[in-house]
Amino acid sequence: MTLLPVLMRELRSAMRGRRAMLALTAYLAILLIVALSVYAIAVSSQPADPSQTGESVGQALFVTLSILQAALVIILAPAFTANAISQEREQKTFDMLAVTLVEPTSIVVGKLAASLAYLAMCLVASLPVMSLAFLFGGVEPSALVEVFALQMLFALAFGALGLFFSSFVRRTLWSTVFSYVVIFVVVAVFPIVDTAVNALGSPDEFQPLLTYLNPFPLILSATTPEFADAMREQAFVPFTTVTPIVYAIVAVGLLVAAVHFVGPRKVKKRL
Amino acid sequence: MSETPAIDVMNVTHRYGATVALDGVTFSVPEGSICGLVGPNGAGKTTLLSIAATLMPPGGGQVEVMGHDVVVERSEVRKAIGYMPDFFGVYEDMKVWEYLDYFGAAYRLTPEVRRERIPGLLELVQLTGKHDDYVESLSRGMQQRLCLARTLIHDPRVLLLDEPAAGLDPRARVELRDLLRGLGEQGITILISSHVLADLADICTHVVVIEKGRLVSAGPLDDLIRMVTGYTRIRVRVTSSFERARRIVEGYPGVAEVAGAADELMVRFDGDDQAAAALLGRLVRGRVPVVEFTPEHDLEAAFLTVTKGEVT
Repeated sequence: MTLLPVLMRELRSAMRGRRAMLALTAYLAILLIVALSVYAIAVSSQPADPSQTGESVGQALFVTLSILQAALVIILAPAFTANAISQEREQKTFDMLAVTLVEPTSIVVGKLAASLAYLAMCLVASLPVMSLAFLFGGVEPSALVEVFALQMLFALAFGALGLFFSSFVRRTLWSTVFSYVVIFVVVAVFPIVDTAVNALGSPDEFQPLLTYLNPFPLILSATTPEFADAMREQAFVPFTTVTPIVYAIVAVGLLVAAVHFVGPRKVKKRL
Repeated sequence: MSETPAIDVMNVTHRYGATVALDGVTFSVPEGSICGLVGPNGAGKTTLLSIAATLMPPGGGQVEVMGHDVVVERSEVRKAIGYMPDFFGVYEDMKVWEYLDYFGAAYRLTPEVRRERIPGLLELVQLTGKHDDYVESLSRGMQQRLCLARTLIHDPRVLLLDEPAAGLDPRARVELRDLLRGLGEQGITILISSHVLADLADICTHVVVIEKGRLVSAGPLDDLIRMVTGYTRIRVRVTSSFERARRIVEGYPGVAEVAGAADELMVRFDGDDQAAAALLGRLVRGRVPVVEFTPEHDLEAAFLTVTKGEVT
C-alpha cells in the first residue's frame, strides 16, 4: 500500500502557512479558558470536607476538559475529512491521482491518517492543560490514557464518517451536511428517542440502547468512577466495552465503503 | 514507427443511463504514432480516453494499452500511460517541484529518481525558473505545461491527452505543439483529442474520427485525407529555377493541378507517400533547389466531410 505520498501531501498542506498554528492556538485557548472557569467555580463551591477541595477541583477539571475535548474532536474530525475526496473531485485533481499507482485504499487511509495526525497533535498539545487536573489530585493517570484512547476512537469513527460521505457524494457541501446530520442524530436524537420510549414503556425493564451509542456516556464512565459504577449496575450490556467495539466496526465499514466509492467505478450523477 | 498497436480498442460500448456514449468502437493506435482523436462535442472522446486511462471500465468490449487490459491489468496500464484530463486542477498550495515530486512518489519512484528527473522535466516544459514557485502563481499555459510534465514523471510509453490545448493562447499552443512533436520523436505514442484541427493536422500521423459514439474513420492521416478529398496538397518551395520546377511538376503523373508564383508551388497530387517521394526525387535530379516539400493536411475539410455534426 503506497500510503506515504497522500499522507505527506495532506500533512504538508495542513501544516503550511499560519492556519494550522492559529487553529491549534484557538483550540488550546478554548481549553484554557474553560479550565480557568471550572477552577473558579469549583473553588467557590467548596465541599463540606475542606480536605477534599483539591480532589474535587481536579475531578471537575478532568471531567469538563475531557468532555469538551471529546466534543471538539467529534466536531473537528468530519470537518477535516468531509472534503477529503469531494474537494479533489471539485478541484479536478482526483482523476490525475486516480490514474497513478496509488490504490483507493491508500488514498482513503492516507487522508484519514493525516486528519487523525492533526487531531492527535491537538490532543497531545492539550496535555499540559489536562495535567492541571493532576496538580489537584483525584484523577488516575490510567483514566487520562483511557480518555485519550476514546477520543482517538471518536476521531477515527467520525473522521471515517466524513470520508465516507466525501467519497459517496460529489459535493463537499452535501458531504459536510450529511456528516453533521448523522452526528446530530447520534448525539442528540438518540437520547431523545430513548427518553420518549422510556416515558411510554415500563421504566423497570427499559434499557437506553440508543443512548449507549452516544459518545458522551463513554467519556463520563472513563472520567467519573461513580457514573461508571451506576451504569454497570443498571445496564444489561457492558456498554463501555461494546460501544467502542461498535464504533471501531462502524469506522472500518465506512472506510471500506469509502474505498469502494473512490475506486474506478464512478457514478456520474451523484449530488 | 511500429505497426504493433500501443492502444487497441476492441468493440467498446459504454452508456450513461439511457445515453449511448460509445457504440461498438474499434480501432488501434500504432506504437510511436501521434494519433488525433477527433469528433464533435459529445462524440465520446473523453469517455474513450477515461476508459483507456483506467478511470472507468468499459460497459462492453475491451481496451488494451501496450498489450495490457485496462480492467484486468490496471496497474500495468497505469505504469505505461500518462494521462491529462480535459479539465484539471492543480494543488495550489504546493510548490512546482513538490507537485512533480508528489506524483513521482505516487508512481512509486524512489526519492533519488525523482530528484534526478524533476529538473529535466522542468527544462523540457520550460519551467526551470519556476522550480520553487507555488503552482497557484503560474499562468494557465504554465500550469498546462506543468501538468504535461506530471504525465511524464514516470517515463510512460503512451500519453493520453484530452484537449491539452484548451484555453491556451496562440503562443502557448505553438509551444505545446512543439513539445508534443518532440515527445513523438522520442517514440512516445500519443493519443490526443483536440478541437483545434489545424494543430492536430500539424503533428498527427494518425487520426480517429468518432461521432455520436460511433467510429467514423481511423487510420493514417494521409489516408483519411486522400480518401475524403481524393488528393493531397503539397507545398513546394524553391530558391530558384521556379519555371523548371513548374514544368517538371506539371508533367508528372498524378499531378492534377499546379498553382503558385514566385518561389512557391501548390500542387494538387493524387498519389501516395511513395509517389510524392518520387516526385521530390525527380525535382532534385532535375537540379531544382528545393527548400521545402510539405504534404499539407486539410483535416478540417476531411472532418467536415466525414462527420454529420451529430452528438449523443
